[in-house]
Amino acid sequence: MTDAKIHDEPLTPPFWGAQVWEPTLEEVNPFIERMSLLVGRWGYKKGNLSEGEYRQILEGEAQGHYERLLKENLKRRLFVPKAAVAWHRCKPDGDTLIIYPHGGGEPMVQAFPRQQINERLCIPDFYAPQGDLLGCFTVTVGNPAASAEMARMQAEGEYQEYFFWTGFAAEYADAVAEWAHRKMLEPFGGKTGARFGPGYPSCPDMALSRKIWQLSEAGRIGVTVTDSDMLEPEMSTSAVLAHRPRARIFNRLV
Amino acid sequence: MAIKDFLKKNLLLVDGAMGTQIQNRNPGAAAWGAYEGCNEWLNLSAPEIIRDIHAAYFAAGSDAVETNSFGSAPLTLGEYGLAARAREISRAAAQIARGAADAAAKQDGRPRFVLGSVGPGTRLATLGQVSFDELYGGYQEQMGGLIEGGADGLLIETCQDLLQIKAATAAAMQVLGPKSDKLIYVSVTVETTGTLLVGSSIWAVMAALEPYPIDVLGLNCATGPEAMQRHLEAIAKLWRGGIGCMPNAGLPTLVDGQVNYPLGPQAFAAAFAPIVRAVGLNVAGGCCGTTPDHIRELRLALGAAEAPAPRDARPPDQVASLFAPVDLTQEPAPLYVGERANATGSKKFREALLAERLDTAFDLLTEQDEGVAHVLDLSVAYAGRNEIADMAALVARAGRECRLPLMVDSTQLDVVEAALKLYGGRMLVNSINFESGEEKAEKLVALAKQFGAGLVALTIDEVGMAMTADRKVEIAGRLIAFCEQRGLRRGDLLIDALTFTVCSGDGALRDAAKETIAAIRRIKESFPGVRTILGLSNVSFGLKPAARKVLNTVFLDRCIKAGMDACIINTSTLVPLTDLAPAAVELAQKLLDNDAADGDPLELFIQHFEAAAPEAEAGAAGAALTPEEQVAAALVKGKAALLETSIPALLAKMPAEEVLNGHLIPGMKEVGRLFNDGVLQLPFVLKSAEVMKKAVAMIKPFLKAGETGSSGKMVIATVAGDVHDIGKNLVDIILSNNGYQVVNLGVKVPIEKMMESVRASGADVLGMSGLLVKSVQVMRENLKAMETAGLRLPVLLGGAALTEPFVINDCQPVYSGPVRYCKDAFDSLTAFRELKETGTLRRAAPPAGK
Repeated sequence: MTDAKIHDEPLTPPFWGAQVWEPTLEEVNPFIERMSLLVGRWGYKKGNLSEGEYRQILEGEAQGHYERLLKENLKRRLFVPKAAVAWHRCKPDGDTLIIYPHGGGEPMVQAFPRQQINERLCIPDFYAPQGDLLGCFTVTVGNPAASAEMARMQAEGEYQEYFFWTGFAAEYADAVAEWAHRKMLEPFGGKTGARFGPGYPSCPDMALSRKIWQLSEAGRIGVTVTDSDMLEPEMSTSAVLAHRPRARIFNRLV
Repeated sequence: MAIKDFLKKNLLLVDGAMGTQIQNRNPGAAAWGAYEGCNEWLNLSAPEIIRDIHAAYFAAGSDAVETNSFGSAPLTLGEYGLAARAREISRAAAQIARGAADAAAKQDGRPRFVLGSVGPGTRLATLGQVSFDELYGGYQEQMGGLIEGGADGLLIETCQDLLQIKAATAAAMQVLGPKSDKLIYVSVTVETTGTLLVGSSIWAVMAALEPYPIDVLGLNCATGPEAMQRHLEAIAKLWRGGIGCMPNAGLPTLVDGQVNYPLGPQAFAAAFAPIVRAVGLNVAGGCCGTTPDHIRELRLALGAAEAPAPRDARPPDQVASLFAPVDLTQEPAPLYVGERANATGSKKFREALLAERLDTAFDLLTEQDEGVAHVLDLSVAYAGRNEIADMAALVARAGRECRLPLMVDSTQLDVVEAALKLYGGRMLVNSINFESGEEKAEKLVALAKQFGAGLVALTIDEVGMAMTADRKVEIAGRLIAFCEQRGLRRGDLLIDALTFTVCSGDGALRDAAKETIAAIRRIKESFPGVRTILGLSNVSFGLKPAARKVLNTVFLDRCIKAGMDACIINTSTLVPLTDLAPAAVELAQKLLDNDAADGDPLELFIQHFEAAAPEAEAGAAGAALTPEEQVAAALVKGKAALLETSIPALLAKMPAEEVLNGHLIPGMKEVGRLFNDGVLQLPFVLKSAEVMKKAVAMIKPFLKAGETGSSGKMVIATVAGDVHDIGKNLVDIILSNNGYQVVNLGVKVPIEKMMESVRASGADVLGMSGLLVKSVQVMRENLKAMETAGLRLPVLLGGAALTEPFVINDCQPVYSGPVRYCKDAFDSLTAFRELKETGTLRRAAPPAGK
């Protein structure tokens, strides 16, 4: 990758700087990963159940709760998707990415770890060497009313509901991320490449979370950053887009 | 001329004994060299002797000779230190025989053939003396050499063990490849007891070998011609391919320390030739004690014999234990597959496995013998157990001792393969499906072919389980085509059209029984020759035992009428349909048909069993629950409604403390156990916690003043900088509903606040949670601060980025009190209980022995 000469066509984004997008719930719902929610977050695992018993629970009980929450959320608008999205400029420099905020301000320098084996990938490799676009976003489904409702459920002993809703909200935030990713790349002909979230192995530095929060002006959708660079409310997530087709998720260590 | 073409028109007369012929020619010390007694060595050191013997047999009238390679497999040659030369020696053996055959053919123009002799070796695989893989690998060497040297076929002879035959036949298939014109000839040795050495009847032999591309099956050695006749006749009735026989020169006797064979050449021919004709043999020859003179007399007696008329043998589709076969088509239907040796379904069996009592587990497997089972299902997968080791131990023993054939039930290819490698009989493998696509299915088919197993095929594809008859039939068709394209036959397959409970009240499943019955009928019509099987008892899942028995029996009857061939069921629960009350049967029919003409059929069915309380019910577990049982059921099943009468009933007869500590806390313990065992899922556990909270609220007014019902206190918090709330709250919920008091400080909590709360509340334990990579460092810093502040109380740590090694190596060393890693809420509960029950908590330490 480092030796090959890369010629990336220059691209012009549909807008520069940050925008707030508020999709409808119906727009986001199709991007919910059903199995990730039912099995991963809700813990409907096969365990030692027989295949038949497990299917029964998964397609009956678990699916029932899923559909119920989808419906109830449409009605109550408890968890509402919001996205703060932005296009800026960047230039890769070895293992770092220099980000030039649109409309001026100090360039930001973000270092990334390089893969230790295989192709020795590093996120800056995915951007045009001569300078490129940097898409990023912060999304959330949380809000004070939802947090209050969750606290109430927990306090009043509605444990199962509390558990279902918090799991649902976390998965819903990921669905908004997927929706925003696609939507941002629509003008370029659809989703290509990959997105990288702060805190994951190829991008462990949480300080990037604060940078994305600034670049996407996520205060406008009610998201704040803690001292340790975490997003609040909990049901929020952020990412930088590596929009070139060669970009892909990689495991840093293997 | 290819040997298979010769066999179409002619009886193939092979040679007689090799060993005695070698002794007669007295090879001498120079020929034996360092390998005195290793006949195969002579292929390299004295090929002229071997060639001379072959020539003598050809001159006596043999159409084919066996190569001098009976013991040329690496394992056998290994006894002389010649293992590495197995291929070379085998190749030489075939080259010598090829030379002799071609010379004889040149002389008189008659075709002559070479059969590569492959003996059984000295160790029995079924008894665990040698592994399948060792045999399989060794035979490939030996057979590879024989084919390279010009053999026209492979004669796997003097076989005493089905597993050895499978290893050799699989090796032959591998060496020859598909559609070979070389002959595969398996010859077994039936002892005077009437079975192979390990106990297999000739019918078990045929059932186990029937799936393989074996051209000729026969007998050799052990006895003389007369004693072999009845076994040969048995083969002739059921074996599709050719039949061979190479008897000894009579039953050997020991005279003055010398083995003596009673039949001379003329007597041998006189005894054997009539049998060759009567049975209709395709191959005849001699074994121990026979000589070129015996073969000459036999040739004279038989003349230039033609091949026997083709036989119209139609072997039934069967499975087999080591000892005996079982027909897959039972009259009356169905074939019952006992399901009691199932770690998921049978508590007894599971407990035996968990306690490492494999003898008990084995007894549970074989006790079904006494019932009506025809085949025994064996499923050992259970969380925390080594499935492959458990399966191997039980299959190896069942392979030696169990009289009924096995159905090995596993989703893991390596488990299935390990089982197949230990089982001489013909087993069924449960199951093939397309859930994870065709790649895994492909591998299962390859295993079934290599080991001659039958397959249970489930109608599941990449989309999921087939719920409707249309989908069931569609996937069945795809499964059948897939398996047939890869060389399996319809008779090898049992299609499981799946059944789901009609008793859950789930609207989508109300037609489940109808769909299954329709699918069975349509599969039997659309794919003649294929069988169907069903795990039948699923249909009544969720009902009380007495009601299940009725519904299962009625459903069984309906499925059999639709054409079901086999069913997996706990055979001890079967009752004759005629023993059931007609009213119950009618309600069961309506439930199966989803016939709502008189109201909700499920409700009517349940009501019938609640109202009638028939005597069958009285003895069953469904009898009216005591208040104690109701409380337990309320917690385990998450049904708060059951508390309404049971809690007041309990309070009326015992102090509130006893209700709490004697019933509610143990109930939650059971919930935790079920979760750990992988049978209860997290959402249900939370429902149980809800019920617990309600139950505690109900008894609270009756607890003595100051008695909170709490048996310990924990402060819990998500560390500074981390906003993740949910995991920590789950710990709070689980602990506070198992009788502990929890002070939940929330998220982003600085250590100073935690220490202050610990001191103020007098907590027994501190719990720290955090999701981030950074948070685990914060936990470590927090522990340092606690150490400096002089705190020593136990600390529990949990979070996604945290690992046990980090806790052991980085956290525990900086703190003098115990520090423990908890992977989930129940781990914290276990740690808390340990603290309360023993008064102390073990420090985090590397596991013993590492």
